[in-house]
Amino acid sequence: MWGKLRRGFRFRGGHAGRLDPGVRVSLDVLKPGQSGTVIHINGNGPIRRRLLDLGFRAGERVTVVKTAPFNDPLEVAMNNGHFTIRRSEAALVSIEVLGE
Amino acid sequence: MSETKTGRRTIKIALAGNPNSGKTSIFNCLTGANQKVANFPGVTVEKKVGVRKYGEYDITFVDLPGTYSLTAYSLDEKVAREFILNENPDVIVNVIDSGNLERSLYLTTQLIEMGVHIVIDLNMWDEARESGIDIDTDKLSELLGAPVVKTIASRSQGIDNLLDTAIGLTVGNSSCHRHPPVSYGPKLDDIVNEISCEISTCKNCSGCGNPRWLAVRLLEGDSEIKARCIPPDDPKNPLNAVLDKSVNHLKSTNKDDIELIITEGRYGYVAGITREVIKRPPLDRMKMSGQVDNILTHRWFGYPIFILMMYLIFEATFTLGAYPMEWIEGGVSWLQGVLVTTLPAGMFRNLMTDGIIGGVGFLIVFLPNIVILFLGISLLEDSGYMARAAFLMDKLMHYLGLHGKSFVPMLMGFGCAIPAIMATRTLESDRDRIMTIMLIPLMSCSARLPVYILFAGAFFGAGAGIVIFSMYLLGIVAAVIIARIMQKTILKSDDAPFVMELPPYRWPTFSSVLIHMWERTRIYLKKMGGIILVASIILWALGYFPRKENYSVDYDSRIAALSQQENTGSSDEITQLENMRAAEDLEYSLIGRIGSAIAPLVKPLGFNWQMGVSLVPGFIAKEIVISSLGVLYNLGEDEGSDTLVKSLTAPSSGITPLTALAYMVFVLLYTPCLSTVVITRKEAGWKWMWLSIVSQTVLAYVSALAVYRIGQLLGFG
Repeated sequence: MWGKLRRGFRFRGGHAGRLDPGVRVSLDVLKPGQSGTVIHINGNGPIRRRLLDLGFRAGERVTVVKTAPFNDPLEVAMNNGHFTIRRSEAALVSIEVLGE
Repeated sequence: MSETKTGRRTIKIALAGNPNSGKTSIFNCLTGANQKVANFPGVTVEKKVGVRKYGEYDITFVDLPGTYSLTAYSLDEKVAREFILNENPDVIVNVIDSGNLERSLYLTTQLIEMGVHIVIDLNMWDEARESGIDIDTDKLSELLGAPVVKTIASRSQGIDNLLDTAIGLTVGNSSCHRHPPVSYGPKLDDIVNEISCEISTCKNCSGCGNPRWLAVRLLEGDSEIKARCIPPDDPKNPLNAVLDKSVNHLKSTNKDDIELIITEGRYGYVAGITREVIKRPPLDRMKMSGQVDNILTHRWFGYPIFILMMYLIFEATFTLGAYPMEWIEGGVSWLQGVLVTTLPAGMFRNLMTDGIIGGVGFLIVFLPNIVILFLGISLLEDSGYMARAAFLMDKLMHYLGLHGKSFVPMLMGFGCAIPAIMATRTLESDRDRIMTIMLIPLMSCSARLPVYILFAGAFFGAGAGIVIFSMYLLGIVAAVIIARIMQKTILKSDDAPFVMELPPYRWPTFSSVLIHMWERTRIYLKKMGGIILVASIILWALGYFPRKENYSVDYDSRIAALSQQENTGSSDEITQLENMRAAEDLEYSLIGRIGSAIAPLVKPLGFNWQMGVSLVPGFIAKEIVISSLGVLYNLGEDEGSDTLVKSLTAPSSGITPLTALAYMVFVLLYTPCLSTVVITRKEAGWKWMWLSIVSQTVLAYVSALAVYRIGQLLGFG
């Protein structure tokens, strides 16, 4: 269990603070305040469908507003509103990082 | 539309729209309090139906579940589209949040494709205007081929206009109810046309729905529609060949999958319309909400505020609610008293006072709880805070395999399981709802507290507080374990999406809160009334029959003899005799016999027979456990707990602190009460009701056994 936690921590830490504009990552990697342009929604089934229906689609600008107190879920903002999304769901959204 | 003999015409109008579009407020405006809540056939998705007489029309309104789309992925969406396909509403009122036109129109295009008459209702028009949006409604109407009406549900503005427009569509005097087809771009349109042509010539598909809509659904790989249009036993169906050819063509010419291509096409169409009709782009409508959220979902302040809110609702429901509960209880016992003095003694009086009035009294005593709790819940929902509560609590609840919103009903379970189980209606997914319903009884409700107070106080003295606290903790631990087990076995995670909108904060309107409360109260009284009454009468009969004819002592003559005497001790002696008789009656009755029959079963737990028997009436309600113990120890129901404590702690009772602990564990974990069972059946069905009864009883038994045996091994008791 500790190994799993540490791996998770290192993964997130690896991106900390140096997300250059233009880099392609998944939405869950963004820190509060950072934005990106949606490139693609991965996965399949109900979660992907819901993401598409809510307007997560290529070209949309999405900003991470904040994370819940235990870091999950996230609050993200798009042109058409604010959403709460679990990290596991945000991991399905690939984005291109935008400059701040 | 159909015409009745009296010349009145009946119209069926369905309301469709996104969650948070104010659809329910519009529904309330249209129907007033004249609503019925039922479930859609076969599922536990709520169906609200309202009727209204309007001019020469009898109008039935149906509030469809709020959805973003009409696929077959979620139950709500399935229900909404089944209704539209199978029940052929005359008109669909598509309620739209004017401030969020683009996403709303995404659903609109799907409704248009289904080929139904729709009225576009631009709701929350005031809010949209305040945030600077201006929509060209004439242009929108022309582009969609549907009438557009502006409404402000919170102030009941535009409702009559909406109704007139909807009725106008049914009589065909509206200029526009021919929707131009939704366009996905030239390439895709050709393919959709080809398939829909094939569908129009197909005999199977007549009555399945609009060919164009079916074509799009088939292309998206909707298995339900496919099963409908192409029977699995008919592989040579010409439609199959056309469909396969199109799918292969699309796959070979695109890198994206078809679902994505169609979604993009639909969004493209919607974006085109939005660009043409929005005259002024919106300012950030989340600005105010964002500022509020800076505090309410703040990293450090978020939880304290949330806990404070939950505390307020809990206190209001159960502490404030206790006052009207007392009045109701007082009224019930007054009525019982009146009947006791007016009716002749005998079975009928007993049935009336203990069976019927006792049962109905039990039912209405929870009314204040339910009214107040649903006042709180509708404030949370209507203001938009419920979505934030889910945001804050989801991490924790997700560990249990639940949705963040499950927290509120679970918490209410510490007060009373009945309103808590009713509160699970706020959950969208069936699985989450059932799981929450199964876990709520493990939250130690207030009715179990008197049992802990009595036993912990009698056997643990200064440690009573810790013992009682650990009971609550044990319930939570049991819930966590059961949740983890259910997650791995019978209620496997079904991948239901969590992602949801955090709607802008809004002031709840007085009427919608009131209607919501009234609805819940009515459901509670109506659905529970009959069953509780029947069950109370059955349980009363179990406690009343068979009548004992030959007592070990001739109580009647001894009481009669004693009442002749005038000396001081005689009234005490009479009470003592009456109590002894009551104990003999209880032992002789069916409940007593069941208790004696299970006595050998509870022997391994260290319970004496009084403890064993008292658990049986405890199925009706936990409060009765103590009064039954009182009766079984010849104390009468009304005597103070001090004497009961003396009897329990007397060495002759054989109860040790360890057996007391095991007994408390049993009381904590087994089926909380009859009313909970009834509401579980109502909300989740027979299967889950039985599973809940059996699993909780088994859990209680095993846990009490473990406590007793391990305690013995460790040298206690």
